[in-house]
Amino acid sequence: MTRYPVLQRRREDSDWETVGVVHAPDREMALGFALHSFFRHGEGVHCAIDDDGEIVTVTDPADVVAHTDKSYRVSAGYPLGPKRRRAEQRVAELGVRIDKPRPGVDNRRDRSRDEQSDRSEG
Amino acid sequence: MSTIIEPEQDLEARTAAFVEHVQSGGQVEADDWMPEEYRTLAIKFIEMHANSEMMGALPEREWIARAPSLRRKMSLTAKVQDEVGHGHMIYRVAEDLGKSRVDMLTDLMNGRTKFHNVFHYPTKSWGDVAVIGSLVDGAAIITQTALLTTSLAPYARVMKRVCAEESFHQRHGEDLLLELASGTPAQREMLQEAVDRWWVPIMHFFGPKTPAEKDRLLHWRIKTELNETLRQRFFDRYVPKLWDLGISIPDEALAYDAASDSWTWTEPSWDELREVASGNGPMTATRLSWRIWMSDANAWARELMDLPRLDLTHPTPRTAA
Repeated sequence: MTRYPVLQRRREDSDWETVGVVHAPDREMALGFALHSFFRHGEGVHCAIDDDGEIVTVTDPADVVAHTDKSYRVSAGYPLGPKRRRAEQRVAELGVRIDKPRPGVDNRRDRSRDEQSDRSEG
Repeated sequence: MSTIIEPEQDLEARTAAFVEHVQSGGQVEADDWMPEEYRTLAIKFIEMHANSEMMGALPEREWIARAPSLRRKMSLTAKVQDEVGHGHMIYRVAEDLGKSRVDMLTDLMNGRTKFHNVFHYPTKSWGDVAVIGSLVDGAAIITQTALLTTSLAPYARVMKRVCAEESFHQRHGEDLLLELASGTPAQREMLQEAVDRWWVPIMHFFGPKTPAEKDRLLHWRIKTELNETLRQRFFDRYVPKLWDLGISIPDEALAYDAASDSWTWTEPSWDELREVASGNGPMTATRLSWRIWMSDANAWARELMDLPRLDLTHPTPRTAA
């Protein structure tokens, strides 16, 4: 585990200040821990970690509040429509689709429901 | 329930009234009268379900540290948390029927009770995580959705929450499946290899074809549908999805017959299922040893909870320094 000091700017015009430390196996995890540990309640608008002298900032201020995004634990967090279309495109390029008889109506209904769900998720 | 079965009826008449009630769609509460066979079978079935939720968290837990991104780690962590939560909710249902949760967990760890066959197998690649999330969880959703109308009302109530959470698990799994299917040749190969390895355990998961008249769980409507009905529903939903992705299924005989609106398939050897489910699977001993280790490691918390409550209404006066 590596030790990463965590820095924040409270407002756009604030100076950077050290707010604590996280221990993490890599930079990505360190930023995640930092957001979870120090920015849960909107304490700042910019977050950074000190990676052995290199300051790594969360470049998009919106990411600073992204730690409150729990979409990874609900169905709506996985809009499948775009991924399905990408997969179909890839399968078409490879020409590997298996075209055997299947219960068409049920399958279409199932897919239609997924796609409606994807659209409603935006 | 108590309104239709009179206490003064003899046992045979009470049992007959009970059977008529549950077979016509009625439900019972844990404190209603029920025949001993019903209670025994329900405890055994629900206990195995809860055991499977607990043990089912472990194959994916192995992949949290190896997941390829932070979001995937968080997804898997959330899923593992859900599964353990399901286990405890379901243990409470069985507990209300007369077997304590401590006894059920002890029996699980000592190998005296069973858990689903699919959780006795190793997870060898990230492709396994996709297959477990999409196909194994897909199979689980199909069987669990059928339990929403079980005759045991507390079990049905718990299943509403379980099914809602399982749908996130399955959707996460399908997200992984699509990502691998859209990926490099190596990723597609990894996915295909995982499907090949998991197909037979998934067929085993639904159990052998059993005639309705021989299935006592169906008789009491603890289970609501035949094994084969559930398996056919799984084929309907998932086989076309795999074929659309160019992923083959390791069963040459698998085919949909439009005339009969059913699938033909090759029955695997059921000896392997018996061997695995009786505690001799490739990962049974390892995963049970983890469960025992976790139980031992958390013993302090249970001991703390068992301590008598402090009486905070009469705090001990501090001694002046």
